[in-house]
This record gives sequence, structure tokens and C-alpha cells, in this order.
Amino acid sequence: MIEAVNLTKRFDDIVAVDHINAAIREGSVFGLIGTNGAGKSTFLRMVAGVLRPDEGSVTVDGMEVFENEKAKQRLFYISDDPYFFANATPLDMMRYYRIVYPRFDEERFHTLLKNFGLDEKRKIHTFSKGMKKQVSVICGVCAMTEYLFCDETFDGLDPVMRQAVKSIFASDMEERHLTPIIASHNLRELEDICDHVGLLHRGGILLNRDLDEMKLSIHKVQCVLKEGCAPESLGLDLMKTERRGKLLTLTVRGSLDEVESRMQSADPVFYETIPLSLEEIFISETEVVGYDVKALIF
Amino acid sequence: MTSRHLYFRLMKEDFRNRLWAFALPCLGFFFLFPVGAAFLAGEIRQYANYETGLLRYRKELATLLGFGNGMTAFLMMVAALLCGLSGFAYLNSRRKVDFYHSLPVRREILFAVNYIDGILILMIPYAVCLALGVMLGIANGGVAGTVISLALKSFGLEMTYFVLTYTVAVVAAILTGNLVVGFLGCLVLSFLAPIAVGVIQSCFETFFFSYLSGWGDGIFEMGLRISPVMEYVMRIAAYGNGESLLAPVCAAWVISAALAVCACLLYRLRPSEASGKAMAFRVSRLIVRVPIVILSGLGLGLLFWSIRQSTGWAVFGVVCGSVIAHCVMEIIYHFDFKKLFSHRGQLAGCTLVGVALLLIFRYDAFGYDIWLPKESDLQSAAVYLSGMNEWMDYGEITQEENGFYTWRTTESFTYVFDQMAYADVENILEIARAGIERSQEQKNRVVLVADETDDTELYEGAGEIDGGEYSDGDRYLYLCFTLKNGRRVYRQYMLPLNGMEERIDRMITDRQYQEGVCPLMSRGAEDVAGVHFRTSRSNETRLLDLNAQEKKELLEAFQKEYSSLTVENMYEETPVGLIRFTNETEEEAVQWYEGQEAMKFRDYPDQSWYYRLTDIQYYPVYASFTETIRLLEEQQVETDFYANTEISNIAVSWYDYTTDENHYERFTDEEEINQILAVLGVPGLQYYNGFYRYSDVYADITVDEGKTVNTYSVSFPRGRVPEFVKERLLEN
Repeated sequence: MIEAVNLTKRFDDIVAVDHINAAIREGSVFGLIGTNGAGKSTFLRMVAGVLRPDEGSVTVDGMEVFENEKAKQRLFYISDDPYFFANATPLDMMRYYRIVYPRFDEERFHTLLKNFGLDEKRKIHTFSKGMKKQVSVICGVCAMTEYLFCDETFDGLDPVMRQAVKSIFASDMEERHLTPIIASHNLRELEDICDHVGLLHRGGILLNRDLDEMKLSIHKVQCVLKEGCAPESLGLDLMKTERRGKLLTLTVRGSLDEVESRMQSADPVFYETIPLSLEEIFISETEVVGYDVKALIF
Repeated sequence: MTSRHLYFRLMKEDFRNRLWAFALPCLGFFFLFPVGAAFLAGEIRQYANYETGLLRYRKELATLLGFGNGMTAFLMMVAALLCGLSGFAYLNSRRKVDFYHSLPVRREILFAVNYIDGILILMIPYAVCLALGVMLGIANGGVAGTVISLALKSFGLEMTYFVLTYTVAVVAAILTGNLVVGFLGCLVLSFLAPIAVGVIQSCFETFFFSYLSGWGDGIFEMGLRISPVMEYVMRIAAYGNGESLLAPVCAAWVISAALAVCACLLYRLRPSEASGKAMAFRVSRLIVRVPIVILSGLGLGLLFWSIRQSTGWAVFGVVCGSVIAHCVMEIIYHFDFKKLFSHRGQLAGCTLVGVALLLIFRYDAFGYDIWLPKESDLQSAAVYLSGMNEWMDYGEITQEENGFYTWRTTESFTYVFDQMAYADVENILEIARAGIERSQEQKNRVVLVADETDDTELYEGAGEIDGGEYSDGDRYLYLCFTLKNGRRVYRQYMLPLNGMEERIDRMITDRQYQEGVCPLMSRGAEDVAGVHFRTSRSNETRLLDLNAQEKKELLEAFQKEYSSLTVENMYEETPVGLIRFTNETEEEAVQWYEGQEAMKFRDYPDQSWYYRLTDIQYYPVYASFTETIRLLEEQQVETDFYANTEISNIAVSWYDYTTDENHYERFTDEEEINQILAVLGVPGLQYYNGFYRYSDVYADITVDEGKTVNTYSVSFPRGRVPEFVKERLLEN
């Protein structure tokens, strides 16, 4: 598990990460979202042991990361602008990573390169931006570390490749409990892959929730109530109420059974429960704590 | 994987990634050593005599492969900079820092990999090319043992100073976050201390008239040696002088190791986010800026002073220098022109310090120029008086391995300050007081009221024939006080001769003074192998055929008479000839040299560096050395320059610079010539008497010497130009 306690980082007078507390469980995909400058990269660089925290601590499986070889052997960091040696080929990079990551899976590296259609003897600087990201991801996956940090890694990938990467992640999570932590400024990119999401804003973390849990515990109900029946009287944990004529759209917290049971007992004229997108869940959750999340990330 | 395996595998990979840096020294050293050695070998064929060609080849091969070869030093310095900055250049890029610092490798290992690789990148090509050079050298006639030992020694020494300079470059690279600033950082670490020394020393030289530059400058020398480049250069010079380099080399390795540890610690502490910034550590900004701003201010203040000798202008210079340096530094630190006036408080502080330092020097706030030791504290002094001994040769003749004789010069101050322990404390303090007084007058005239000084001021009597009063004016007095606590203090003063004759005589006739200043005074008769006498007449030299007793008598007579020479004697007399007492080695060297000279040094290597061994160690014999002259005449040595000469004419000239007129008259009448000769000194030997009172009336004596007609020039002694000469001159 990765745990950040009061994690803080300042660059001169700018507070990039401000007392973040977060826990990232192994075996799930953690999405870290936020606008540009929200502190995602800084957070990841601290978790990867690149930056020394000014305050607080960050641990990987109970070990402080900064300058800790053992902790770092459990993670692989793909930066938003990955570095490759001058004139290096994917093979050259593999040779180097093989030295520092003893469990590096060379065979898989060759297979994945072949599957992705990348020439392992071609110089990386001749690759497109997306191809370079693919090489990074392949190196990261083949390093066989427990954690894989991807900073905006999916931004340069086309939808096909994104799906391919996601499937690799899925199989690695299944087979060896890989925990990818993916930072992105685009929530929609993470929706179909993340299990857990953290929302960073201005160096602080606004939300840190399990996506399934959020999806199961928040529901949208469209209904028309009987005359004289107010939504507040339904006994639901109302997060938001929208009214359009007689049609009410309620965002409520609670299990689906519980919500449906309450609605049925109120005997409305009409009701139906609608699934929420990740976007809507976030909007609702953040509005509760007073943020206009649309302005933040959409 | 063990750290050791990881380390070597990372080194291998790093090396692979830095092949370009490896290629440059390969290229440089290839052309320097193997190609250089082969090139030199071709020169042997240019000599008619193979042996002399081979001799020269060996000498030049030794220069090529040995420590101190300028090209090697240059390559070493460039490579140190290149390897140091390039090896850690990844720290300047966020991408690269993210890559390296996220790897599960300890920073110490990353540092060690880069640091050691940087050394190997230079060391491997240097060793290989040097070995090739040695092989080629031996194949072409170099002596195997000599060449190999020389190359090994050179390799050790060059690597010592490469590692030192390289480590400083590494420290600079780690302290900065930008390649260009890293380069500037290298310059700062390498040259800030020498520049500081230069500026402070310039202040001493400019404002302290009694400051004797180059002596007692232990702190300044230490300051210079802080710079690895200067240390390298100074050790090359020391090596050339035959000094042992064991202690400096050991010190260099210790310092390199300490710097490497320091660099490793800095590397650990260096924040990864420093990449791209000018300075990696905030605190280093202040540490670097403050001395640079103060020194720049002081430097510009000195420049303004040297132009105008005005305190106001000097202060203006300090302010300008400080502000400019501060602004430039701030722009570099922030990469933002608009930030040029950041940290104004620090700028004000540095400027004030600069101005305060300038004024301290300017007004000699600590009394440097008027300092004198207490009589009770002074043990002895070494004194060098200009005009007395400039002609004296200090050094020794040695025979080299190849059989050649060489004169190794000892700098005159070095000899005198080391050898002399003049213990007449009361006399030396009185002389020094007179010197201080005279120097203060001079300082007040030149420094304190510089603007009022009239540079065209004429000496008394200017414009009158034979009326000058200037040549017996001031002399420089160089002093090394040895205090009872062992400390040595060096000073120089202007010393007026007039009125000080008695004091000076008391000093120069003192045995301790004589032995300290004059090597011949300590020589015993048993050390005399030959006696040579030379006159300026056709530059004739005679080796006297003397037995041991005669040599002893002549030496003792000369020593006695020379040590009795007074200022008054020197005012009036010019030497009549020159005498040299040689020991066995010196005599052998003279004979060898004359043999070589007969061959016209056809293939003599580096002959321009060899003194003429027959022209050194001569002492003047004055007309008042009656006993010496008597003994010389017993050997049929003619000491009278004008004896048996056929003088056809004497041309007398005088340039009156007050009217810009040249007066000239030729005298051919025998009677007139004899009257002129009666007052003239001996031509060609005035150099040996810096106290001689001469006028600015010159005589060119034309002498018919049989096969040739020669002209000898000599000045009239002051106040003794015959009246008829004056009259005739003024007519023209």
C-alpha cells in the first residue's frame, strides 16, 4: 500500500502539494486527476522517490521511498516526458533497466514490442510521441514492479493502444497484483480503468474514493411525487435536488435497494433510477464540499 | 544483485552513453603522444651528426612525455572541464533527473558511477597514448629506463592534477542547475581565489609603498593555491625548478578525496527540482555573490584610481563595479532581467564593504607603510640595496646527466634573504627609518596629492652642463626583517643616499652583510681552481697562471679590498676590470664551454636557455684595490684601460633636454685627449657600479687597435667635465 501522510512540497514560494493524506491500496488502479498545476506530477515524483517531501511522509508498503533502494525496487515511474538515452534503441533501454530491475522480464519485453509493432532496434528518437510512450509502458510493465506510476501516459496514446495498455494492466493486476497509479487531467480517460480515484486541486486532495463504492452508493432518481409530497420527506440522503416542473431529479446517497425501497414506500406517480457517470459522481461529491468541479476539471 | 555488480554494470552502461566524451581525449592524446613522438623522431635526420641529433631528440622526447608539457596541461584542463560538466549534466534536465532518481539505485552509486567514469574517460586514452608514445620514443633511440620512468612519473603527476581539477568541475556541476552556469561555476571555483589575491595584492602594490611584492605573501600564495588550475601551473613551475612534488601531490590527492566526498554529499542533498535553475542550493547564491560583488567593486575602484588617482573616482568605481556585478549575478540567478535589483540590502552591504576596504588601503588605516619592528623584537635583517649588487650572479653550475654544464640561477632576493643575517639592529632600523621617511614623502607626493603633482618637474641643475643632481638620489632598499619569534617581514623603501653614506658604509662593510650578499666572500682559497681577469677593452679575458699560494693571496686581497669598498669610493670610481675566482666544477664548466663554443654550439640543444658559462661570476676590481691590482700586475695583467692605446679622437656630446638641443664636439688634439682621459672612467664597466656619479655628458673614444678601430662610450664623472670641453660644447 502507498500511504501519504501530510505530504507537502514547495518550490520556492509555490506550494505544489499541500498536506496530502492518501492511501492507495495494492491490486487496484488508482487514478489521480486534477487540472494542470494541481500537483499530480509532484505527488507522483515524491511517491517515486524523485523529490524529497518538505513535510510529511510517503511510504510504499511501509517503507519511506526517498533514497530507499528497496522501496524503489517495488515501483516504476513513467514521467510525463520520458527520457531515453541519446541514440538509444528499445533494446538499449531494456539492457539498462535489466540492470536496475532484477526481475525485468526480457522475454515479455520482446513479445510486447512485437505485439505493439515496435522495432526493437530502431532508435527511439525516431519514434512518434505515442510510440515513445508505448516503449515506456512496456519497459514499466516488464520491470515487474508492484507499482507502476504513469504520469499523463495515456495522453499520447490512440484509443486502440490505450485499450491494449489497459488490457495489459488488467492482466498484470490479475496475475501479479500490479497496482497502476495513473495521473491525468482528463477524468473521462480514467473512467473505464480506475478502481479508485483521487482528485487533486491546488496541491490538496479533494476526494479519495473507491469508484465502485461511489457508483454503488450514489444514485440518480428521476421521479414525479404525489401532490404535497416533498423530496425531503422521502427519508433519502439527498445530495442534490433539481426540479423541472413536476419532474424531480434527485442525487441521493445509499444502496440501490435502500433507495428503491424508500421510493416505493412513498408511492410516487413515477420514478426510475439512472446510473451516474464518473463525471457526475465527481460533480456531486465535490459540490457537496463546496467546489464547482466543472470549473476544475472539465 | 550486489551493489558491486550493479555498480560495474552501471559504469559500463554509463561509459557506453558517454562515448563521445571518450573520443575527444583519444583524439587529442593520439596526436600529442604517438604522433608527436614519431614527428620528433624525424628531426634526428636533420642533424649532420647523429649523436647530437639523438641527444636533442631525447631531450625533446622528455619534454613531450614529461610533466609540464603545455599541450598536455591544456588537454588535461579542457578534459577536466568537459568530463566534470558532461558527467553530471543530466542534473540540469528534469526529464533525466526524473529518470535517474526514480531508479532503485542509491544516489551514492549514481554519483560514484559518473565520477569514476569521468576519470576513466580521460585516464584510459591518456595511458594508452602515452604508452604508445613511450614505445615509439624507445624505438627511435630514447633510453628505455629513462623514458619509462619519466612517463610513469608524468602519468602520476598529470592524473593528480587532472583529478583535482575534474573534482572541482564536478562540484561546480552539482552546485548549479544549468550547463552554462555550471561552466561559470567552474570558472568561479577555479579563479575566484586567484582573482581575489590579484585584487588585494594590487591594493597593496598601489597604496602601500613599502609592500614588497612576492615576498612574505604566504596568504596570497595559499589563495592562489586554492585554485586547482593555479596549483597545477605552480607545480609545473616547481617541477621545472627541480623541487620535490611529493608533499603537494599527496596534498592534492587528499584534497581531491575530500572534495569528492563533499561532492557526493552535495549530490545527495541536491534537490531534484534544482534542474534548470541557476543555482541548486539557495545558500550558495549568497556565498558566491558576495565575494564577486566586493571584488568587482574593488577592482573597478582600483582601475579608476589608476587612471585618476582620485579617491572620489575610486569610490565611484567601487560603487559602479559592485552594482554591475550584483545585477549581472541576479540576472543569472533568476534568468530574468527584471530581477536585476533583487536583494538590494545585500548590494548595499557589499558596496559599503568595498568602499571601506578601499579607504582602509587608501589611507593606510593600519599603518602598514610606517611599521617597524621594535629593536628588542628584531633579531637580524637581510638587506638588498639597489645599485650595489644588480650585476652579481647568484646560482651554481651543475653538470647534467648528458654531460652538459648548466648555470642554474638563484633569484637575487632569494639568495640574499636566505643567506644574510645582518645583526646590527640599531643600524638597520635607522636605515629603515630613513627609508620610511623618504617613502612617505614620495607617497605624499604621488598618492595623497597626486592631482597637484607636476610630472614635468625638473631636477636641480637641469639645463646646465654637468649640473645634474639626480643620479645619486634614491635607491631601493629591500628588507627582510627576521624577528626573534621567527617571523619574517618584508618591506621595500626608497632610500636617499645623500646623508646616509655613513650608515650604508657601516652596513656594506659588515662581514655579515658581505657574506649574505656576496657568494665570493664565503669562498676559501682551497675552493679556488682558477682565476680569470677581464677588461672591457675588446672584452679580453685571461686565465691567470697562478700557483695555490698566489691564488690564495689574490683571493684574500680582493676579499679584503672589496669588503672595504665604501659609498664614497663608488661615487667616484668605475671598475678597471673584472675578476672571477672559479672552483673546480666551475673551471671544468668554463673549459667545457669554451670547447663547445669552438664548435659554435652547432647542435647544442636549447642553447638559448644556457647562460654563457664564461660570462658569469665576475666581480669588479676598482682602481682603489691597490693590493689586488699589484698582484694582478705581477702576473703581467694590464689594468689600465688607456695604456698603450692609440686614440684618434674623442667625440663628446651633451643633450640639453630643457632646450631640446644636442651639443657635440670632436677632440683630436693629443693634449686635449689626454686631459679628457685623465677624468674619464673605464668604459663598459659602469654597470658594475650603480652608485657612480656620472653626468649626462658622453664621450665616444675611438681607439685604433691595429686590425680594427673600436669606439668605446663612457660618461664623464659628474662635476669633472673639463672647462674647455664645456666651452667647446656650448659653442656648438
